Amino acid sequence: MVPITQIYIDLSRLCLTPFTTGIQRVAKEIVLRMLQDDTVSVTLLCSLSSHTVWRILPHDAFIQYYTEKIGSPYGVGKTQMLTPDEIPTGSVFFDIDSAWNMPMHRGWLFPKLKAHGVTVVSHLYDLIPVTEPQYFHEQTMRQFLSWVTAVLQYADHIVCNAEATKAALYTLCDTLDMRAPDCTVVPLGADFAQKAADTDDEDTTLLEQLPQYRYLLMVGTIEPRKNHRLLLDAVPQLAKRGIKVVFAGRIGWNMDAFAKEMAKHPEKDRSFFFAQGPTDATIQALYRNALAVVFPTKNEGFGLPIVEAYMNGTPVLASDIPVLREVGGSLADYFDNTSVDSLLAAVDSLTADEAAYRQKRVRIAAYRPRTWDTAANEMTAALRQCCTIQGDLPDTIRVSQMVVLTARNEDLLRTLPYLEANMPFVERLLVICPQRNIAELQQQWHGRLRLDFFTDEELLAGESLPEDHTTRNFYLRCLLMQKAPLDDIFIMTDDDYRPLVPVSQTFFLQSGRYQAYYCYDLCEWRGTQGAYTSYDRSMFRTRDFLTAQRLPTLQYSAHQPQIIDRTLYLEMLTAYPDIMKQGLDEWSTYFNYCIAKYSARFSVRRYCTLCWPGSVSDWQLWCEPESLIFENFYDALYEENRVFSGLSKEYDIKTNSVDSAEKIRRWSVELAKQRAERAAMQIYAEMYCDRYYRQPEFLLTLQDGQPCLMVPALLYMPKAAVIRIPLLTEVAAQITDPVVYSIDGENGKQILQQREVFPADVDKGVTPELILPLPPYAFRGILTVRCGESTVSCAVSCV
Amino acid sequence: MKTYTDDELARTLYGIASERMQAAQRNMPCSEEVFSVLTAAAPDAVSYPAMAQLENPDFLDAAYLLLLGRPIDAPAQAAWQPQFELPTQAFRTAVLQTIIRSSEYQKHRVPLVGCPFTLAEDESQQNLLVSAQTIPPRLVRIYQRMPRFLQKLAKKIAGKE
Repeated sequence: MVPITQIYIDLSRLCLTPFTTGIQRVAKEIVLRMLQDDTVSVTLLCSLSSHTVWRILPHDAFIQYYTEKIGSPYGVGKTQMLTPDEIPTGSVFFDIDSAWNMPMHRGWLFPKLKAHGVTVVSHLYDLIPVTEPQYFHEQTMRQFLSWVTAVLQYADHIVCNAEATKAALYTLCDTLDMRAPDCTVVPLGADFAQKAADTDDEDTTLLEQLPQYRYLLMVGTIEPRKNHRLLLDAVPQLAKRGIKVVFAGRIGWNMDAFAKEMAKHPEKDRSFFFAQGPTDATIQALYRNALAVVFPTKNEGFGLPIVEAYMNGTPVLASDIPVLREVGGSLADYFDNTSVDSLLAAVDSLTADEAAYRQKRVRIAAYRPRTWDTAANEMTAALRQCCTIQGDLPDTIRVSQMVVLTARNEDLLRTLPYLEANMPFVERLLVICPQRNIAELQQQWHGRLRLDFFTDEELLAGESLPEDHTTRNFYLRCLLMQKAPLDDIFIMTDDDYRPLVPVSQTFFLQSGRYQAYYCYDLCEWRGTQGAYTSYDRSMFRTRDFLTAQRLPTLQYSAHQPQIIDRTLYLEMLTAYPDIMKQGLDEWSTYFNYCIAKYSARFSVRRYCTLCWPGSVSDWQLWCEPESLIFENFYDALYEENRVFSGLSKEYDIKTNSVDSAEKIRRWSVELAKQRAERAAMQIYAEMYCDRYYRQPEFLLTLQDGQPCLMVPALLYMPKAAVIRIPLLTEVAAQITDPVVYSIDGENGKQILQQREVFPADVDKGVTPELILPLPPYAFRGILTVRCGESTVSCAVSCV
Repeated sequence: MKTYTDDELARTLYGIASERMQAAQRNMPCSEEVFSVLTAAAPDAVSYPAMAQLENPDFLDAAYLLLLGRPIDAPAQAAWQPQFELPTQAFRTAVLQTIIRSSEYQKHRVPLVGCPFTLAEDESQQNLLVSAQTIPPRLVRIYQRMPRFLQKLAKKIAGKE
């Protein structure tokens, strides 16, 4: 079965624009047809005022609005929302609307989509705001430059509407000495439904002054790029030839002086006419009876007026530029758009032989425009090629090997029964351990799962191990990929990752894709402030490495087993041979590399781990688990008054399913608590923002070389929570004093004992935090924060 | 083949467009620094630290574009121009307070983050709370419950306004 291509299209500009002309008209025509195509599943989006979330446009409402002008494109009823992170891996995000005008900046959006394995496709109408910026309003040009930056950096594929646009893109990439993105040319359609114009609407006063085939027509908004100037300058010489000139359109940007000049033109209403905002009927009549449509534009993305002229059977005189030659073909005549003489020569040539002229009109009458159906079909085909919903991997892959690196026999022996019971597809476990551990493992384990061994000594071959824990871990894993008897595709795990429920191979490999489970974004990882662990430092190093390589930065050390393709891991090590001893995170480095390079082989998913972190309050979750399947085992969580107290720490075939269900339930409750705390803080932040026009922030700056603190006027917090307040600062490295903070209740009783953070000790990519573990009762008090000579307080209400 | 950071590429494209604008005797809509800040901006918040390095005129441009979503208009430009020589913080405070208290901003509402000075009139009540260590908590509590006009009076009495 051919998989359905999932396409997401942001139509925020189309929805805002009352008149669908230009790019919005293209977007409308294409999207309406894509919605009828069974081979694609299209989700239409429109950004909400938060600018980071879309609303999903209901298809019915969209179609009804844009075909019958009934209702609104938003539909009625509950608004369905979507965030960029929710677009599934393998789908296509297609920008066909004028995205440079949209509030959701593409420089912000595209990296997010790419980190999740979404293919980004942009429609490029032209590059004129870059190549000839003088023809554009300054702000349009500025927004376009930002947009092009994002497109060149992140788009996987570009759809151009003309070969000339593609050539311009490649020229720009040459100039920048950067790799040009893949590109498909899909010319636009032009079979716009011709409205049966009511002849009563015709401007008869104008039309009566224009004898048939004795005037030149120029249609379109009057703006500098369209080069009306050339035709206006030609008016006196054309008048001598008995040929009149008509401009039909409206006055556009930066043309006030030109408008005045037109108004005072000596030939006005004799040989030169300006039909401002003409009716459809007038336009059609003007087209039909014109000697020719003139298109002296300096540059153009496509040149639809040429096609419209042909559809009215009218000859065209067009600028001799590549894109117009592409669109106009052999039916048009071309002239130099900088020379009035060239234009006059083209006119003379057209009028020299009346029979030839009539013959030309006959040839043009036979012209059939390219249809929107064709354009939409070709565009959909281009998108389908980019789509990777069905991954690259064959269905025949069978995974049966699991690999664990351990020095702790006891931990592994406690985990093995869980693996054996819940991961039946795993047949062999390759244990990488010191030689001395093997005998005990062989002696103690008698289960179905076959244990194979490869020793640290074999792996190291006399080399010494790095001292740092995570550096050692990563180095050993790199050696493992190179030397150990591994299957091509295997599951890598740790000695304390316990599956609580049955897990099949499809958890790791489905729809032709490896499933990669992430738990955080490394750029947001804050670690154990004040006492970074080896793990934290590894995360920071990995963040810096991935950022420097322009790779995504999701954190895949999700503390659950993950599937590894050995060939890809080795490829990564070949690409970056220096990283083996750099103490990076073995999971995040591999998956981010692979997802950037082989997005068709991976699905990016949220993790499925209980007890990561060991206690939900250890850090603020960046995302919640997609489901709860693996336990990251901590002994301490089974102690009295801890989350799993009263439950068995060991596998017991009789109680396992009940115990596991209870663990999952209790962990869900913990997650729900933190979710409620986050929601409470969010509401407080929004209310504060409403009141004071800013987020409730704690800031640390330097004034005259001295630390200067600033805190919100009021702070509301939920009781019994551990609140982490970022201390925003750009000068952390220069602050030698600690930031000391404490909370006193209104009755003078100390609620939170003095705590401190040294901003200078915080990693450069991390924001220091004030960590406030709150008591399980409501109180009001004062939070006092001190750094150097600066002491500030804010009223605290804990409810 | 070159690999650019986002900012490097944005600035290079700005340079290309800038040359062509100059050749056509037109001005760029903003300085390269402002363009760099705008290109890197997140859609849901305006970062004061990102604008902190800008000179006063550039700061004004960026503040209008980011907080109001439009370029500064000519009358506003004329009104602010004489104040370009003000010390940086005084100028920025004035600009941000004016923008943020405007009805236009109320419609647009992109939150400002990391701004190290008070923007709302009554957020400065914290100034009173700065002295909370010396003011008995009971008095602070009473203050917090006061109607606003009494709070103002209290602050005057406390020498904080």
